[in-house]
Parts: sequence; structure tokens; C-alpha cells
Amino acid sequence: MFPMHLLLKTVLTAVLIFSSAVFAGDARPIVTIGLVDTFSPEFYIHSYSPTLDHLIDNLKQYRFSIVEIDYRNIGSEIEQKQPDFLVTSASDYAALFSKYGTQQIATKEPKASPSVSQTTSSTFVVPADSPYQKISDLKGSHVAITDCNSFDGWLIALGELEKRHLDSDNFFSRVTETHYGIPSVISLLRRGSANVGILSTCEFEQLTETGVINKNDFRVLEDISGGNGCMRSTERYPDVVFSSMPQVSAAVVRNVTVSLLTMPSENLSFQWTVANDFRQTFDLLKALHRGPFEVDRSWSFKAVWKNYRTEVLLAAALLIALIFHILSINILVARRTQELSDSLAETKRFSDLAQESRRRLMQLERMNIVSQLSSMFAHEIKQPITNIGYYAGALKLLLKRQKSLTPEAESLLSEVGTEVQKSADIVEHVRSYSKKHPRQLVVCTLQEIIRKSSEAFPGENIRVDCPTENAEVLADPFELEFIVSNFIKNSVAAVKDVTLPNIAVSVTRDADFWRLCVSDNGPAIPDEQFRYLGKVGQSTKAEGLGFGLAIATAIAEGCGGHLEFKRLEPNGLAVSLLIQAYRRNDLND
Amino acid sequence: MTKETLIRLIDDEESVLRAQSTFLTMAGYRVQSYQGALAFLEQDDFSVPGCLVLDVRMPQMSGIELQNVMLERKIDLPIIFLSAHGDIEMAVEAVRKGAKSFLVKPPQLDKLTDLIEEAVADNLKSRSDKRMAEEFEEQWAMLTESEKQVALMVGKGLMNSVIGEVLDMTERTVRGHREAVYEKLEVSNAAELATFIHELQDCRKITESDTH
Repeated sequence: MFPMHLLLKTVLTAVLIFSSAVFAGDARPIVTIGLVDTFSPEFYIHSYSPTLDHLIDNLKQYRFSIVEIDYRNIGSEIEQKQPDFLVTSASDYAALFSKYGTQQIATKEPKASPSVSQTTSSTFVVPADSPYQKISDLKGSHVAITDCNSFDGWLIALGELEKRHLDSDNFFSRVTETHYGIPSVISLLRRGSANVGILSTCEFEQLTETGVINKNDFRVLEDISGGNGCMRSTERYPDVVFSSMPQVSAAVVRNVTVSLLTMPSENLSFQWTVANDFRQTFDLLKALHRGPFEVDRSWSFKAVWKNYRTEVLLAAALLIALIFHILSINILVARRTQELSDSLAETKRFSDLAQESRRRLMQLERMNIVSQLSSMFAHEIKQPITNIGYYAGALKLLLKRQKSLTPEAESLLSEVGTEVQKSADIVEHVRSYSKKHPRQLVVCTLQEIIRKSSEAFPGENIRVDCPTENAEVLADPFELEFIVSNFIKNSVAAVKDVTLPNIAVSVTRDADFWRLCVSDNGPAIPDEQFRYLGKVGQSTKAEGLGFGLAIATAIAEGCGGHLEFKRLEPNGLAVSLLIQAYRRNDLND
Repeated sequence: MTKETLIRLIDDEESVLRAQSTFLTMAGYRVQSYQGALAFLEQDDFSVPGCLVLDVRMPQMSGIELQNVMLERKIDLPIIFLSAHGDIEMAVEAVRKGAKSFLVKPPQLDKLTDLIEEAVADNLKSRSDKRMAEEFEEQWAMLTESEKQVALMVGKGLMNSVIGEVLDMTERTVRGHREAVYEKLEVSNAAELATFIHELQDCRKITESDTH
């Protein structure tokens, strides 16, 4: 069947073409009015025609040309037909506003409407016995609509879905358009061919009034009118907008505007006025990605860039941040690893140093033990041998004095002398088995010796008190280190079981000598033990061999110094090394 | 050896001291034993001539240290070191510092007694030289400056007239000084005066070398 609205339009167009023909050869300027057709036929009859009639009558200085702009090709149609004014839905107006600079001059305001900006709305209608109670229940249902470009017949409804964060593109399983023909939306509902129908502003009330439907057979979902005006399931938006194109002269715009706004409305259900709030309309377009917010669905780089610039930039920023994070973490890890390995190397170096120091001292001790044993033995055995020599000599002199030194006695005593020498030679030979390491006498400071000696005892709390001037001595630093290490070692062992151990190393001047003293608060030392300090085999330690201090004594004497031992009150021991202070001219002597 | 000399034996070992002193007493020396360097420094009468038989290795103060102390205090007793072991370096150093000798234990006894003899004789001689030098100096000090000048020239065999010319004085004055010099220095002629001056200079040389 031929749709009603097409029939009406055809008639109207014929009238207009006729009027154009009447005016052929007319010199009046032409004012072209373009209609973007997304309206119901009622609009033509009750709003559009009266308005055009009024303009034609009222503005006789212009010749009006009426053109139709295809909503599917608005851009090219506008360029081609060059309209001066456009009549569009609020959504089309908003969509064209930014792109073509259309400017509202008047907006249709139905008299029943509370405000020009809140006029049109959509209604979700279901059969009364439908299981659907809420709009959200409609997911996957079959919907019937008049036209997918109808503002209040479809777009506002979709906007409502978006507002509820429902995916309007895929919300309904099927959409049936009636294109304002038959069967109508309500018929489809009644027949059960659709689950839900979208009706435009006040359409439900009109259908009820005209008796097309029985009010009780249908139900409006989520009516928010509150009994105030027509029922509606959505927010309200402005109605039809009369807008001017930017190229039109101000005078024409003014005349048309004044004419529209002063159009008599006594016999009409609406009037032209000015709407000043299109925010909701813009929000709707944004939600539906229409007009200025239209999304290019292609996957060209340009389209992707256009549509997802923010996301792409964000992703790029995130990626950069992630790369930066990974890099910085890697750098940090590398740095920390380096620091850790440096620290480990340093620790190892210190440990190696301490170990090396201990090893050298132990080696020196071993070497010295052998040397010392031989030396001690030699020293001890030489005393009696020497004494035998003396006594033999004395006896010879005695016999001589008593005049009883017979040649036999003299010979015997000479033999004793010879044997004494022989024994001494043997002892000396044995002693020479222990080769002494070559001593290197250099000028060294006791401060440095103490520092190095302490290195062998990491972790021990040793108090050091030295004069500010360098305590210089001429000695083998290694031997001094051995002595001081030995002192400290003994002290550490002595304070092992003391609650508050106290080991102090001090250097003081004592006439021509430097006194290096190591004292501790170890247990009191009995007289007997004290007397044998520094003698071979007289260790005060259970596990000690008693060589440490004996060797230290020998070394000290070897470099022209000596050791001193002093018991401290009430307990503890102070061991001192006294060694000649170095004078600058000593080496020149 | 005379009883006026004294041999000091210093060793930390009592048995060694005993044996040593037995032998040296038997050999006719007056000996005094000290069981350590400090005991020697505290108790000894250094004015008694003689020498030291000194052990090297001793606690508290070693023989080498004692030698240093004696050098500082100008104790002129000669030292014979007796060491248990030969340490050439130490021996050289000790001798360089004025030790009479450095022997290794056990010493050859006749060598020891010979060295003691020498050391004591050295000490006596050095002390008598010193005394003589002092006497010479005392006598010399009695002369006036002019008399000293004249004496030195007479000693060189110069004639009174020449001396007068050189010193810018009359021959008679020179003769007067010469007589005063002869009287004060207890000499009777120019030859004896020359000998006196020669000996005085010799003594001065010895004293000088002793102090160094």
C-alpha cells in the first residue's frame, strides 16, 4: 500500500512546484527552505504546511522554494540544493550545527509542552499481558518502530538505552520499521509480531483518543511522566528546529525569524519560539555516536586514529611508561646488583686481607717457633757448657797455684776445654738450621703497626689511643706487627669470659723510647704464672704453647727493645713493648 | 793485675755469674757480679778502673742498651760482650760504639783473660792520660796570654829577638816572660818546653777523640 506520508508529500510538492511555475519570471529573491524528512505525516499536515503558508503570505517580498533533503545524504544534498533554511529534528539540527554552521532561528513548541526544550520523547509500549516490566528486560526482544531516523520514534529511545549503559547497537534481536505505513507499530504489537513498540511523543494518547487502541490492551514501560502530560519512557528533547544556513543574509534571516516568531497560533496546536537548551540533544548524539560524534567504523589508520586517538595516545603513554618502568627497573636491578657485588667484593677483600694478615703472622710464628726452639735450646744448653769451660779453667788455675798441675792433669783439663768448644760448635750448628728470615729495618710508625695488627681481629672492640705525632721506630714492621698481634691475641683470649671486655692499645713516649702498651681486664694472674711470662713453654692459655710472648721477647730484643709486663688492679694485664724512638739522624750514624 | 782494678760481670744467669767469677777470681782478678744491667748502674762505683764482661741478652735492659746508657753517661769502662750466639751485625755495631770486643759463649779462656788484661790496661791508660792532660792543662792555665804566646814561640825554637819582633815587645820583656814560663811549667830550657807543649797537644788530641 502506498504510504500515507509519501502521498501527502507528493501532493505538497506538486502544490509548491505549481506555485514556482506561477512565479516564473518573478524577480523576487528566492528563499529556499529544505526539509530533512524524519517526521510523521502529521507533521506535514499540522505544522509544516501551516508554517510555509504563513511565510509565503507574510513575506511576499521573497519567493519561497521548498526542497526536500534526503536524510541519508544530508551533506551532498545541502551542497547540491543550497537551502537557505532547514527544517529538521532537534537531533539533525545538532548534528548539522557544527558541520554546516546551521543556526536555530525558531523551534516548534507544542502548546501542551511545559518548555520548548522539553517537548519530544519516546515511549516503550508492550502488550498488557507482556512479561516485560522494565526497559532492561527487553534485551534480545523484537522491536517495532516507525523509522530508524525518527528522532522521537527511535533515536531518543536508543539514547535511553545508552543512558542505562545498555549496548543500543545490539540490544534488540530484531528491529522492524513500518516507515509510517501499515501495519503500524501498534498493529505489529497486537499481532504479536513484535515484543515491544516505540511510539513518539503523545502518540499513545492520540491512538487511545482516536479509538485505534484500547488503553488497557497495552502498557507503557517505565512511565516517568508522573501523570504530567503524555506518558513517556524517556527524557524530553526539543521538537522541530527551524534553522538558517550561514550564507543567508542577515536581513532574510531576521525577516524569516520575526515572521516565524510572530506567526498567529490561535488555530494551531503549536507555536514557533526559541529553544536555548540543546545540551541533552548533544548528549544524545554523543551517546549514539551520531553527527559530530559519528564514529568511522572502518579500520583505516586514519579512522582508527580519529576514533581512538585518546585510547591510542593513552596506550602509547602506557607503553612508554611500561618500557620506562622495565628499563628503570633493569637499570636499578643492575645498579643494585653491582652495588651488592661491590659490597661482597669489598667484604671479601677485607676478609682476604685479615686472612692474609693472619696467615703471614702464623707463618712468622711457625718460623719463629722453630727458630725460637733452637735458639732457646742453644741458649739454655750453652749456659752449662760455658760454665763447664769456666770451671775447668778455674780448676787448672787452682792446680797451678797449688803447684799440683801435673802434665796429665793439664792434658785432661785441656781435653775438657776442647770438648766444651766442640759441644758449643754442635749447638751453634743446630741453631743455624733455623734460618732467620732477613730482617728489613725501615722507619715505620707504631700507629700503622697497630692498625695492621688490629686487622687480624675484626669484630673485636679495641680502643686505640695514640699521640698525634707519628711514633716512628726503626724496625722490621712485620716483626713489630707480630708482637702487637700477639699482645692483642692474648688480650682477646683473656677477656673471652669477661662480661664487659675492655682491650686498650696505647702509645706513649718514655724518654728515648716509645711504649706500646696493650692492656685488658682479663682475670687476675697468679704470681707463679706472672714470673714466667715471656719465657718459653710457660703459656697461661690451656691450648697455647707458650711461644708467642717468648718470640715477641726475642724479636723485641733483636731490634734493641724489650717487653714489660704489669699486673693491673684488681685484675687484668698490661703488656708493653719498649722500642727506641727513631731519630732522623739514626740512619746517618 | 792490681787489686785497684775491678772486673764487673753482668749476666742474668746466676750460674754463669758464679762460674765466671770463680774462674776470673782464680785468675787473679777482683770481680763484682751483677745480675742485670740495672743493678750495675745502681750499685757500681764507676770510678774504680777496670772493665765489664757483659752478656747481650738480658731482660729489662739488654747489654746493647746498657752500652748506650754508659755512652750517654760517659762511663768510660771498656766492655767485653759475651753473647750466646754470634750476631755479626750486632757485634760490629757494638764494637763501632766502642766495645773492646765481642765474644761468643763459651769464650776461649785465655783469649778472655787477654782481652780483660787489655781492657783494664786501656782503661787505666785512658784514665791516666786524662789525669795527665788535666795536669798539663792546669799548668798551662797558670800562664798569662802573653806568656802562652811567648811559650809557643820558644817551643818552636825562635830567638828572643825574633819573638820580640813578631809579638811587638822588647827583647827584655820576652826574656822576662820566658823565665816566668820556665818557672810555672817547671822546665829548665827550650827543649823541655817544646816537649811539654808537644805532650799537651797530644793529650788534647786523646781527650778530644775520647769524647767522640
